[in-house]
Amino acid sequence: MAEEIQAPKVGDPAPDFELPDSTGARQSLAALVSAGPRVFVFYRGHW
Amino acid sequence: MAEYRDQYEKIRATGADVSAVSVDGPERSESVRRQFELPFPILCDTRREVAKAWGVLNPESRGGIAEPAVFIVASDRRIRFSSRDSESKRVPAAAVAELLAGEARPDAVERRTLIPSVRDFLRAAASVFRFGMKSPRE
Repeated sequence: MAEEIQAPKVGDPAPDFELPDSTGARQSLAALVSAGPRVFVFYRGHW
Repeated sequence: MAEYRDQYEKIRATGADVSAVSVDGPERSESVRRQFELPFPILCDTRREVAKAWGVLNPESRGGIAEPAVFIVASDRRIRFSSRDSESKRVPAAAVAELLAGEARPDAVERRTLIPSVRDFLRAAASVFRFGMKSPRE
């Protein structure tokens, strides 16, 4: 079961974040979408 | 992930881009990125903060992982499309590309059973062999 946090819905602002990418560069949501829409693909990791 | 590699050119042609997100650390993610020849970055949510805030964290599976999900976020940071998926039934990357290209309607996107190619399956198996099944917390 997923934790009791409501996934943001279509039309909502996506929750902001800053994360490192696999090369170590810091990436913020604001910067990632600044040039155009972006597809965020969550995967379970390695599989 | 491999699907998004195969659709990447079409997605880029619409002016959009792709980021993958998982709870794996940078070393493992970079290894996956190279193995699968992904042309886009993988974000490392090792603290599970983003998976939690975006409502896709499954804390009970393998030490806490993000369930498969897809979000399209526009430049105004609003979510244009989202799909919470499962391993066995997911939105095909081709459908996401069609959405971005305006060739499909968001409410008409089908989830399908997707089977990886043998080559991608072997790449995934090699990653598990190297790093194990669990992803440690930071």
